[in-house]
Amino acid sequence: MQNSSAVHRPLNSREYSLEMLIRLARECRRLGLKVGSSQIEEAVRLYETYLEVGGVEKDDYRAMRRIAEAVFIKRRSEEPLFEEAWRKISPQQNRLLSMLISRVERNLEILGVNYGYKIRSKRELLESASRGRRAEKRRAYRELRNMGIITGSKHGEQVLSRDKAIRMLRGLVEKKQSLGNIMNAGLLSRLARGLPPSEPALLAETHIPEDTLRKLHPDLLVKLGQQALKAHNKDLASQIASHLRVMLEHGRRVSSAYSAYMLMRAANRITPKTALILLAQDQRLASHVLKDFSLHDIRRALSSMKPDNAARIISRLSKASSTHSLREMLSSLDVDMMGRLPSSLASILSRDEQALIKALRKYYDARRMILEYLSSSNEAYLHLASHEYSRMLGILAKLDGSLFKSPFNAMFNELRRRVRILGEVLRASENSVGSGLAAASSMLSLGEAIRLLGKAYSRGNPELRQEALRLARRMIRVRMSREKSRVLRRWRKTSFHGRLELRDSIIRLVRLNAQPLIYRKRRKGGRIVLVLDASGSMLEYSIWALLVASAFADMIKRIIVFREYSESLETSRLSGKDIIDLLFSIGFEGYTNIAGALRDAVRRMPPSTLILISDLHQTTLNLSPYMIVGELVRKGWRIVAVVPPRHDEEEAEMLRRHGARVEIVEEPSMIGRKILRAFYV
Amino acid sequence: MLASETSNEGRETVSVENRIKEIYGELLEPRNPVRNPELIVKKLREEYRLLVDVDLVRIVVASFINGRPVMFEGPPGTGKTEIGEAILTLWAGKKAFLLPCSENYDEYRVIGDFHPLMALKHGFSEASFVPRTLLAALVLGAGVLVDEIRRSSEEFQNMLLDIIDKRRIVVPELKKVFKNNDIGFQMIFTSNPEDIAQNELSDAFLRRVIRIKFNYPDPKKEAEIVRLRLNAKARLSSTLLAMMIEAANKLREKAMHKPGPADTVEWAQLASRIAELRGSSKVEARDVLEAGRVVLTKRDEDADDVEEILAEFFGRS
Ligand SMILES: Nc1ncnc2c1ncn2[C@@H]1O[C@H](COP(=O)(O)OP(=O)(O)O)[C@@H](O)[C@H]1O
Ligand SMILES: [Mg+2]
Repeated sequence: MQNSSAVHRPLNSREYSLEMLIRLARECRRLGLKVGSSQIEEAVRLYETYLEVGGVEKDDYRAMRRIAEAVFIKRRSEEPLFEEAWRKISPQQNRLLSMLISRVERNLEILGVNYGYKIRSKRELLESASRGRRAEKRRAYRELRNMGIITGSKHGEQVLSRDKAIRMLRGLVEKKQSLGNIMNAGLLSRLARGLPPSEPALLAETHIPEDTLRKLHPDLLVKLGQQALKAHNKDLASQIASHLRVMLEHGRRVSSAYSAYMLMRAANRITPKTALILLAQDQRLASHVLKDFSLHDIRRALSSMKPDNAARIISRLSKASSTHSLREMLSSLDVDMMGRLPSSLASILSRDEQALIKALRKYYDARRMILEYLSSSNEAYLHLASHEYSRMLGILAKLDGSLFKSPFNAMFNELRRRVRILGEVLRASENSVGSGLAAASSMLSLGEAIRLLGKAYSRGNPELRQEALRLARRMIRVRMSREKSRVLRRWRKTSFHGRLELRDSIIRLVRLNAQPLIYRKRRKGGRIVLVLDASGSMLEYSIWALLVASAFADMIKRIIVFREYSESLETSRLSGKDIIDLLFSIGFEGYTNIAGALRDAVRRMPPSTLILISDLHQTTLNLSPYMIVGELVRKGWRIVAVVPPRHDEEEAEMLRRHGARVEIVEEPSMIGRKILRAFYV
Repeated sequence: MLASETSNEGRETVSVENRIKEIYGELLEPRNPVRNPELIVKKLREEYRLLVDVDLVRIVVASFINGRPVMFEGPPGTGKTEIGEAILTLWAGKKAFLLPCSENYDEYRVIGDFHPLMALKHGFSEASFVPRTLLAALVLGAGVLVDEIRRSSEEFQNMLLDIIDKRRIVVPELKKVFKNNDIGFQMIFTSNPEDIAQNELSDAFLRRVIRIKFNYPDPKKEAEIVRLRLNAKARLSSTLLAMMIEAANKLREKAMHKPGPADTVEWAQLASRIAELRGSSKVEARDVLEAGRVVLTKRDEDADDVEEILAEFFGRS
């Protein structure tokens, strides 16, 4: 390839993008498309502005192409010419293509044939005096078949002509974009045809670069891992199994949970959590899980899972475990989880216990309905709710006193307590939606309440909207003053000690006792950017963060609240009204775009401290958060990520590696302490 | 902006700028400008129900920042006009002016002319001058969507480019130069290259605009567009919708009038209406068939193709 010398250069400088645009223009001219130097300049200018408005620092070749297209092409008839010119210079594709071509040519050399060769006898082709050489030939042959360079027909097999081969590879490159994907595609198509995966080159390795592994489908990892075990390549198997574990814990799925489990067990890489994830997929694993792990481990792993998943897993385990141990496990679950267990579990419980579970389920139904009513004002839900509620009361009445000796007695009492509260909510709702909302708000956690009010706000009629807004603001105001007084109390306590040398003693004070924030507040006013994730599970945390922030608004320069999009607030003061307006303005559904929010957060802002509160699960196809964090740290930002116990661990690790501090906070109300510490440590 | 002239006998109120504010001010519906591409995409979706890639918006924004007019080129019904108008409106924070082109447009029609009676009375003065769209947009800092630019004459096109380049308009009769550096004043042109009845654009013109190509969306995106737009009680299943889009794509290869997403939307909408009129809560194949005949046959010579493709997908009835 003529261009290959140029394409091996690093791809990250602006100079290089200029050079690329010039080469592209030159290529266009060679093909007969008139491109003047002013157009090149124009394209460069636009491209740079494009990157700026997108907040992108790295070169983005797709964008470069679109801009060159927009500037260089005048008419539709010129499009094919441009296309051709772009192909000639496109760097990533060229690099990949030349890699593939040289790989193909090396394989052909091993086989001792050339493009276009008709294979008359396969045996003859693979024949060789030495065994090692034969194996190598076989590998080369298989790889060429996998790639589609050797094709078969009725009349026997043949190597593609050079032109055809290159066209084919180019198509592959354009479609798949990366070597990993290409190998994946080749191998998977073999697997689909029932052929064994054949990548002996990989199997001889004891270690595969993480980059490559990341690109492979989990199913393929399982196959490769099995092959590695078969080849007694234990190191590789372990590496693959650990990688698989991370993937599984991040929600990727394999089609055969059973083989994945066996592989990971053989490679000694199975944890209770992964075991349960796999069990959720395959019933056959139940007896293995019970054999491999203690009940204690299982229970612990269960409590960190979502109730629905936990319920499914318990029902799976129930089929394989003894009645006694299962009852133990069930009675120790918390009520929320219990209410969602499938009815099939009932067989191991006594009749009264079964009735309790039924009541629990009715309780949750009634609760769901009433909340639905409050956010939609659709009366049907209210009727359903009171129906379920009264049936539940019936069941509970009969149960009274009969569960004394059962391990489920504590659960029974807890349910009764919650039922009383639900009853109040129900009565209030029958009165009016507004009073129902007020009552429900006190039953719910702060985050749940705000979400409910937010939904009522976005769906309701004007009156209800007002009411929801009022309630939400009041809730926040109440909590706010509570938070403030807590903080101020601390301050008063410490201020006695620090009166003499306020400023100089701060740092020492801080080390001894993490409280005297007021001093810092004066010193560092307006230096902090708060970035708050308000998606589902994080809403609660973010509200707490806002509450804390409201006490220190003058230290905070900017607050960003985000889901799919971000809303920002430049602040010097933060009222309950501001908080609610901010939360309600971003809506309550959608994706989570952390990277985007980070970008918005630092826009036109000199480096200082940024506190990110998020579980780091990004659901939009954007840059990963760590990429942006890395950049910011290089520019001098100090980044603190405060995460809940259940967060994206891989991403957190990447953040750490890129210079951020990651703090785990056990529950929402504790977030204040972490933030305060981040203020001045 | 130009300093207003010395006032005697209340001439201020007669200045062209004031007249413009008086005439067009009401139409502007001022709001906060939105200039962040991601936010623009969001607003386009939520407020205008338009589905637009952020890449496209970024290029438009980059062009505006560099003072470049943009041309949306593509087949009809791909949203060029609506998207252009919406982006301009968001960008300026004022409702954009729409300038549908025609062969006999000239500067008098778009910049302004003199009221004959008033001119008799006052001479060629600001009092007798009637400001028009383009001048109003410049003075007020609003965007202009020049729709179907290929329908206009070459002189007209060059005049537009000159104005956007220099961001000023000269009215020699008034001996006056209107100038405004407000970045809200931007232009987007639309053009449909497939319409052979229209003029070709000159090289000089094409070199000075940023040309953004519009294509038919891929099926997934088109389905999303229809869902975003559809406003009906009867439920349209995803399978049926996917078939409609496939059929539309077939017609795009065959028919003279190529149905754009706009037609697909209309088709889905009509099918739902028909289902509702039937008293059904679910759109069925026959509703789609019936609606398709109406919406897709825009030209007589397409009737057979439309019929054939509809029958292939939705059966005869
Ligand atoms: N990307 C899109 N998002 C939403 N609607 C679209 C989109 N593309 C096309 N449409 C449909 O097309 C109509 C707009 O078409 P229009 O702007 O007149 O197209 P053009 O100017 O390209 O002929 C919209 O009302 C909508 O029904
Ligand atoms: Mg149009």
